[in-house]
Amino acid sequence: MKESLARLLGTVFVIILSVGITLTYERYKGTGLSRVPEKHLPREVPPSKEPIRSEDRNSAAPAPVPDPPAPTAGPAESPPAPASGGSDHLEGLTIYPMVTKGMRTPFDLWHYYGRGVSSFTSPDLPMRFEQWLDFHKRQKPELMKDVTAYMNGRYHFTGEAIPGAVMSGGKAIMKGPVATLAPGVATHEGLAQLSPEEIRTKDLFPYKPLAHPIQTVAHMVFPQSWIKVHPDHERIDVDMDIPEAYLPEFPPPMFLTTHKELGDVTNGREVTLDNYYEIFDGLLTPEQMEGLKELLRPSATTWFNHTNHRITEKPSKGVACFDCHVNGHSNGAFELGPDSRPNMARLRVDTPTMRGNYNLMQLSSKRSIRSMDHFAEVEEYFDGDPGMQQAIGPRAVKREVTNRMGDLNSILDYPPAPKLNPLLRLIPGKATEAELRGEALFHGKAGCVQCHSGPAFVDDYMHDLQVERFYVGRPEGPIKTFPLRGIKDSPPYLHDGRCPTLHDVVNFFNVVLELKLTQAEENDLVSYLLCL
Amino acid sequence: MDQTPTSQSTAVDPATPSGPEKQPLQNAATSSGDPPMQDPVLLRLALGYVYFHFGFLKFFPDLSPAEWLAEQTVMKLLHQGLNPEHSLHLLAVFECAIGLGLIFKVFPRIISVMFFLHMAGTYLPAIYMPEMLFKIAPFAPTLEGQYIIKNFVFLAAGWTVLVPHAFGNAQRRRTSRETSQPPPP
Repeated sequence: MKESLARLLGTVFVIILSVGITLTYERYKGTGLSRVPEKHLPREVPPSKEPIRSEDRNSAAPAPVPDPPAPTAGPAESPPAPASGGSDHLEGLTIYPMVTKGMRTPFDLWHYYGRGVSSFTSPDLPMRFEQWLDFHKRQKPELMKDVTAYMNGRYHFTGEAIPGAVMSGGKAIMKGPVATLAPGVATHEGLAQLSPEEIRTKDLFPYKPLAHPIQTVAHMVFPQSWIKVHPDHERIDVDMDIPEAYLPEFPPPMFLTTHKELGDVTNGREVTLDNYYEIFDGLLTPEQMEGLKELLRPSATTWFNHTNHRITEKPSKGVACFDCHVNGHSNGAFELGPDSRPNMARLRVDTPTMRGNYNLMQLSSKRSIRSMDHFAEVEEYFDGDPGMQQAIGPRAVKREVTNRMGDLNSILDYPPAPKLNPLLRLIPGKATEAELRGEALFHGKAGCVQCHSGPAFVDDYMHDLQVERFYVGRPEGPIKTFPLRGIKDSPPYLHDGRCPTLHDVVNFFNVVLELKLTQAEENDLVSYLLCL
Repeated sequence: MDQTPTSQSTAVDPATPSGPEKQPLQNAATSSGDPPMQDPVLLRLALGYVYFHFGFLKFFPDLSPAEWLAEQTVMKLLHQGLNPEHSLHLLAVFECAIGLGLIFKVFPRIISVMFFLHMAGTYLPAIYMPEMLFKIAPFAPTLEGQYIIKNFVFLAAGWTVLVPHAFGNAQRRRTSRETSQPPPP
């Protein structure tokens, strides 16, 4: 009797505690303290069939959202695709993990969502700097082992080159597609024949986003070829995760609109603060020269600076624009786009080339920046966090200086494309059959020209490809169209480098746009892209 | 060695005769005339409450202040084999089970094993990420480090509460054999 009473009391106690915590969570989520947005829909809870009333929601919250789509019948392994145009994509996602600076983050960050404690961060480390070094010395080998295994799982980096195809400076161009197909999908062509629902439901999509290997720290990850020349930028926490063969050449050639006759004005050298004057005196205007100097001048930025808030063993003098945009092109370094918070929501972005920026009406992948001056101005603090300024110094690049950076930016030209006529069509006498077939596909069945047109093969719009139709993930939203002129020099492809070769990117669009191209047609398109 | 138990100890005195029935430990008086040992009910319930409460919190993202430490530890322990959410849920299930076992006094052996495994796990951050636990190791802990050091109290409490229940019968059997008395049922 006594024991029964004790058990009854225990049960009541446990129920009260469980209900209390559950109710507390309902009050807590969506508040300023919580990472959980008000719209959080745990997977266990079936979505309400009742329409969401506007008075139930916080006044600052967005408009009522439609019900999530009902699960599909059959052996669904993944949640159903969100309705096209719907605003609720939370089904199947989980809240970002609670992590602090330096901690590892999941490689599949596209599965996560949520809000941060604050939009601002602080330069304080969670430990003493000596400990910070020890921590990363221990974590980095484990992390890189896992990163390598992950990347080798996602891609077959065979190192096989396309016969006879080279970048503008002579580096071999890799053959693809190298994205690993899921079991049950025999060929990339076969993948393109499947419906978005089937690919999503069976988790077959090989082109899911790439995350920064250590998103809690993030910032620039440079290729080893560049680090060899600039060892002071070797990171204590992470290395490049894409093999050197699949990155742009280093140093890349530099072409000027004002001196087409000279070809590569650097003669194979990397332009630095030490040699820029020698190379460019007599070729540039004083304003362009000053702009170039500014593009070469390191500025202390988050994680690359003289403070303890850094990821180099020795204090770093910072990074310059041309540290990633080497010679006005790209060395394949990647970072996080500065345009979103929390940090884990930021998309990994490859360094885009600066070549041909003079023809672009829109810059940056997500922010739709409309001028090169503005672009240079905002990029000084790449993490876009004025909360860091007190520690690492105020913005130094003033409007008159960014104007001059824009002046140099305005004369960086594309590499030569000898097979294109002035109207940017292939010259039949110079092009192969495959290249001509590729051009016809580009303007016809493949529909590439709808977004890639004009002198830079770009429409200067942002498009939402709705790639989340093919996998369970957080939608990435509209991304700026990338110019295709000189595209052979800029691997890896897409904003985060998830397509290591041109073959992968063509297959990506074949799948995502449901073009149903054959393997031969994909190869023809690649042949054509190599001519641009 | 003096085997006389203290009034708070629940360790079984081998000299204590066991009764014919399954005797609650608190009724076992020592032959030395000391007061009978007390089953630390409040200590057990308190331990059970803390385990269940802190465990249940881990089912909800953001509620547990130990979330990042727990996630990182479980992920490292499993070689990143689980994602953070599942790692935390695994730990939540583990802790809630221990809590319920202590509150309802069931499955003492299983709960004991789980408890001591869990306790061992709480010290893993000291191996995996000592920088997060010590400003200067080993005597200047951070707040998290201090909490982990305080787990020694938990360890002692668990030992006091669980071991006699979980392994008391074995000890009694051993004692019975030594004194040639039939073992308790």
